[in-house]
Amino acid sequence: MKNKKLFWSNKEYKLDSSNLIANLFIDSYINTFWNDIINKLEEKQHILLLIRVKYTDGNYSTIGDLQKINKNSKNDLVKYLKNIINISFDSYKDIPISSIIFSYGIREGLIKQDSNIDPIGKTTSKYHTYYNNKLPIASSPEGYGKILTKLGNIYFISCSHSNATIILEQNKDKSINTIKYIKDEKVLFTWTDEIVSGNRFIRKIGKSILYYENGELYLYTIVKKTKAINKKKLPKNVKQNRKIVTMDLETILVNNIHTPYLLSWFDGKISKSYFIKNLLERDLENNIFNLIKNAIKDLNIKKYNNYNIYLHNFSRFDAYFLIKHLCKLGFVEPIIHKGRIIQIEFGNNDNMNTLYFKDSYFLLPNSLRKLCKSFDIKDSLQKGIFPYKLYDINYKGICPDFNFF
Amino acid sequence: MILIIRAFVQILIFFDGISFDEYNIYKNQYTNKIWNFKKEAIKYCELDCISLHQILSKFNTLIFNQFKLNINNYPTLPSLSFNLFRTHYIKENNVHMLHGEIANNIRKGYTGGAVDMYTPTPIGKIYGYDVNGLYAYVMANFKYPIGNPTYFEGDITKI
Repeated sequence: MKNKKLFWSNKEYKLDSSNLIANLFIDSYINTFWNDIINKLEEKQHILLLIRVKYTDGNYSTIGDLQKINKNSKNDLVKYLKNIINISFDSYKDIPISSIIFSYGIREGLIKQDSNIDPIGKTTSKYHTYYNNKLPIASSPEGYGKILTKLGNIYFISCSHSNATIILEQNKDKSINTIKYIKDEKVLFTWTDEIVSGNRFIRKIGKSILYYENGELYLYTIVKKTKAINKKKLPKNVKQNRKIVTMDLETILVNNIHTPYLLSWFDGKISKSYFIKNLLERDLENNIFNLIKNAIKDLNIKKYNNYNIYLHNFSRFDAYFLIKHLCKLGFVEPIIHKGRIIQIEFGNNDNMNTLYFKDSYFLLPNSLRKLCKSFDIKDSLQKGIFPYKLYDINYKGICPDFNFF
Repeated sequence: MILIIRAFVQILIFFDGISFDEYNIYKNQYTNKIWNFKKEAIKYCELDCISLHQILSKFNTLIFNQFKLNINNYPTLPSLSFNLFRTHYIKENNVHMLHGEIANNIRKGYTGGAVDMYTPTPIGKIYGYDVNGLYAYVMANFKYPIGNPTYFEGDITKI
């Protein structure tokens, strides 16, 4: 029997996937632990239990204090742990947990009551438990403890139950008590108790605000620290970036498949076009590749380094034709968000130039024709019309019929 | 009867954005001229590029002159407008980002409302309202919770 008293074990549960500390998983691990260990206890045994979690960054933290519990107080324990997690794990909530460790020792006999399992915020009768200290609940100086001496509106009070000394400063109309809680020659906490009415007061300590009525806590609030969206500063001497090339790809249906046959680009001054050699089926892929290769050859020069190449509706259409062939021409780094290609970064090993293919439709989500009108583009530069349904790239003759447009 | 319907449908399909008048203006450019697919396609495609370039340049200059931001740095319109807000309009320590446990708990408090479909049987006029801008309207005109969130236990109405 004496050996058993020294007996401490660890039971570690590895999490299948790293998880944030959340209410949900605590339940199931407590259940598992109960099944694995506690249910196997003899009738008149209790357990000492300390629960720790291991984070993916290698740190540990302990959830709550050491618990002395009986077999049947699982539900209370879960409740207690959830409260603890809710209140005291702010700074760790963003770091995933890799495992949960139950350190336990089995002891003989039963515990009379699980006094350790005491939800935070609710105080044991007349005390407010704060970081393991029992702070007195009172609205008049006498209530805090034995008044040792008084200097004007400053009281020196001894709290016998916690071996602490309190220096209490009362304001003129006796509505606010400012308290310094001193223990082991150190000021541990400072707080204020604001008396709202005869039996109500509000305690402000740290980030928490507690509301008492007739010595009973009726509301507990704690401000959770979160990050504000910070203001962005404009860099000094910011210059307008005019490195824009626009590109368009025309396709034609060959055997009911969209096949690019023409690529054009415009840099603000010069425009260039690349027309497919032919649409014969045997070297169609090769012809498309050559078309794109020639275009990239002209664009991948020092002049256009770091240029943004905009295509309208790039992500839904042109990107699929381009990316296939761009891969063969150099290195391609696409940014894909929710299945949409947002950007393709293209570079070549021959030189260190980089091109960024982007979708102008994401910036201006409307048809080109409508945008021309909205931006008041000169008539002669507005989007033209073309017979989309004419599938003969070698056609020469009279103007195609209306039906082809 | 079937033929008539088909003809009607075909006109709708080929219509595709341009009107008959537009077509006629276009066609008149080619009286006594040969219409060459390659030439016209290149002309059309280049014009597309030119008009897109014009639009983007104008937009770029507009955004830069107004807000000193470069459109090239932002892939989408929402990211551009969010950054524009963050550079020029947001107040320091005002709007907070919530994530993790806090965000999850708050999100649990939201639920969607009832969505129903009705077959209207009109008595008199029916008015249709477009509610696309509802979000923006609410954000502009109503109070929005900002700052640090407060966790509480007990009766919050007693404050």
